[in-house]
Amino acid sequence: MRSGTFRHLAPVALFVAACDINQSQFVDDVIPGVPSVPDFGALTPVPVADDATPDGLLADIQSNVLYAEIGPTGTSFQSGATASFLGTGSSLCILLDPELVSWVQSVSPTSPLSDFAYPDNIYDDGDLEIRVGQSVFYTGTTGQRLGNFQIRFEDSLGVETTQDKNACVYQGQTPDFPVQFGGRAAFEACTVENTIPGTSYTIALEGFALPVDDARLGFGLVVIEGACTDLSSKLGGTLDDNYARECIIPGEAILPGSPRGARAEAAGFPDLTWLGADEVPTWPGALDFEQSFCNISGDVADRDKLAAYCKREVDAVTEEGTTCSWELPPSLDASDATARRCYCGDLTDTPTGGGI
Amino acid sequence: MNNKLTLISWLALGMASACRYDEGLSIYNLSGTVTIPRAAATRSLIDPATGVEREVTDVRLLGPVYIGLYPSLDRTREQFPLPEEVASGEASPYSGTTIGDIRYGCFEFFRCKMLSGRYLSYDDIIDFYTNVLGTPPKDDFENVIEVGQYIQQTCFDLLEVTSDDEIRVLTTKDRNEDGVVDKNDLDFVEDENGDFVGKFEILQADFHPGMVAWGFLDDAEIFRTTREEDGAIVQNMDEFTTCDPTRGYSEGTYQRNYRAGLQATDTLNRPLNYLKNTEAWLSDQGFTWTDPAEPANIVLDVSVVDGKLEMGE
Repeated sequence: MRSGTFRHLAPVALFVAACDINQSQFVDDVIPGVPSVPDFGALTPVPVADDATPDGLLADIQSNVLYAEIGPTGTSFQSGATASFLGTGSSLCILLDPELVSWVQSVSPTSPLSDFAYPDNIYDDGDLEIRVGQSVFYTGTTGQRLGNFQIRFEDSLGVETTQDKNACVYQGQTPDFPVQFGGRAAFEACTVENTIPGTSYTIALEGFALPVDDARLGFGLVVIEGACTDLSSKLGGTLDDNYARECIIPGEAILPGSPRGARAEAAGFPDLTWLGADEVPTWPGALDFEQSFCNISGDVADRDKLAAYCKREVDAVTEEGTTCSWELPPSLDASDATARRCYCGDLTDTPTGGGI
Repeated sequence: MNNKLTLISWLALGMASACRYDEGLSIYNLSGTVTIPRAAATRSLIDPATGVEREVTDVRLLGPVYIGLYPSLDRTREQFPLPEEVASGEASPYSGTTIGDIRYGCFEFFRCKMLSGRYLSYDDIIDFYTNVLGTPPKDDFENVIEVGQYIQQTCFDLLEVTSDDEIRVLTTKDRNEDGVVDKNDLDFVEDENGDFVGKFEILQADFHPGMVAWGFLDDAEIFRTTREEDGAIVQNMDEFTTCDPTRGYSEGTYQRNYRAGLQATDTLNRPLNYLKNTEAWLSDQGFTWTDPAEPANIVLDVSVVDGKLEMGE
């Protein structure tokens, strides 16, 4: 065989070898003990009394929030979670709050927003998207693989069309856009209108992004009787406030390694779940941080707002010599000052003039 | 050298043949006409000059026309034909278009009333409201608009544009290429029978042999009210039902605070939602399309008022 033949075969050999590439490096490994697509079973909508006070209603909601953690699937399939509920004949409101809160740092040299003077720690946030539809339309396999509500139909000419039977549409900031989501780590609420009595509905939470630092995403989920617009007015408008609503479901930054909550276990929910804000174990400092974000909206001069919280964190780094984990997994060991979980970002990453 | 030439020749031949590859896509630029009966453009209106009721036929009374491509028509759901529903109330059209788009007339007065392809000049707009309906248009400060140039200048100012073409309200092109821009260049032109015919194109449409082109006219609704001050009867045009006043251009200059309105998003997908609440003309037969090169002719021959059949042929 002449050497020229080898020269011609070399590209073919390269193509064949390219087919053998191992792409597992692009997906996170499964975290032992952390489910990737858990199914929580049936949720019972929280009743709302006509004469409910905002504080009383908020306490009711918070004691019925189902908290859970999800992790990677170890494959290219998305992680997520499912739950179900029975239609009541009226509208139902679904509330979801994924870990934790996120914002864009204000770097304007002329009109900076003081609340957002510090950067967000983007590594500890994740994102979930709500989709809800009649269970008969759900395409996934509960507990195994996440699906959606996109159904194929065939018309009289034999042409296939796909319809999205998602019945829970998040109302975002832009009314012109029919499909919107809350954004990274943002609280989401949507109404399933006029549910059919006795019909099973599936809530499919799509794991759009897991936190970069530890790939464990905590979140809180609750179903409430009535439309979200009614709920918002009963809560005094909190649901419509971009900042204050983050505190309707508090404490979704769940401390890893905690056992399932007693109330969740008694209610028959699987691992890893907790029922109620009082039961869920939360990372140290997470509640204060979340509250400081919610305080942005209110006239609360006596309480920390976001910038004050972040300043304390930065001071701890610069004055006490501790460091933040940021993109690395935070340490559970409180004495480990090198891998402390910080909720605000690295101030040295702030863009400067000419660097944007 | 010869080997290289041979290789290059084969490569060139291969690339050239690749350019002729048939992807099997059934996508075409479709065209056709919509014929609207004269009655759709005719109203009994009080003449503002004399106070006497008279019959007016005016192309400016024609609302937006919606044309969709559907698998078939369904005559079982209502007294009039509707597109086949593929699932759950959705017709899922293959494609579609409009003749007449809802535009921003640069004053809140025109919200959800201003269409493209109906006017030749700004004075034409003022003439319609003042001399046909008897309700002169007002600006956002409640001043009567008497000069067309005021509309133009306000549009230039608010939209930050410098030509009528950018405002997209007036017909400025000599569409029929007869050397003048006149009423024969509007979206709808009167034919020899006194009906109105408009041309349409649906570009890059999925073509499925046997599909039906069907459409409807969301006609202008003229309402009358009695003015408190002097008891005079005032006529005006209602907002088009297929216009969503919460969408479209957002005006927020000084005390102006409104949206200009825009076509609703699902007029072709759920036409019945709109036919229930408007005066409409729709097509009884549609046009069964078997050859994409053949122009369609859709006749809107059925009158429907608030979802009820008025007359048919």
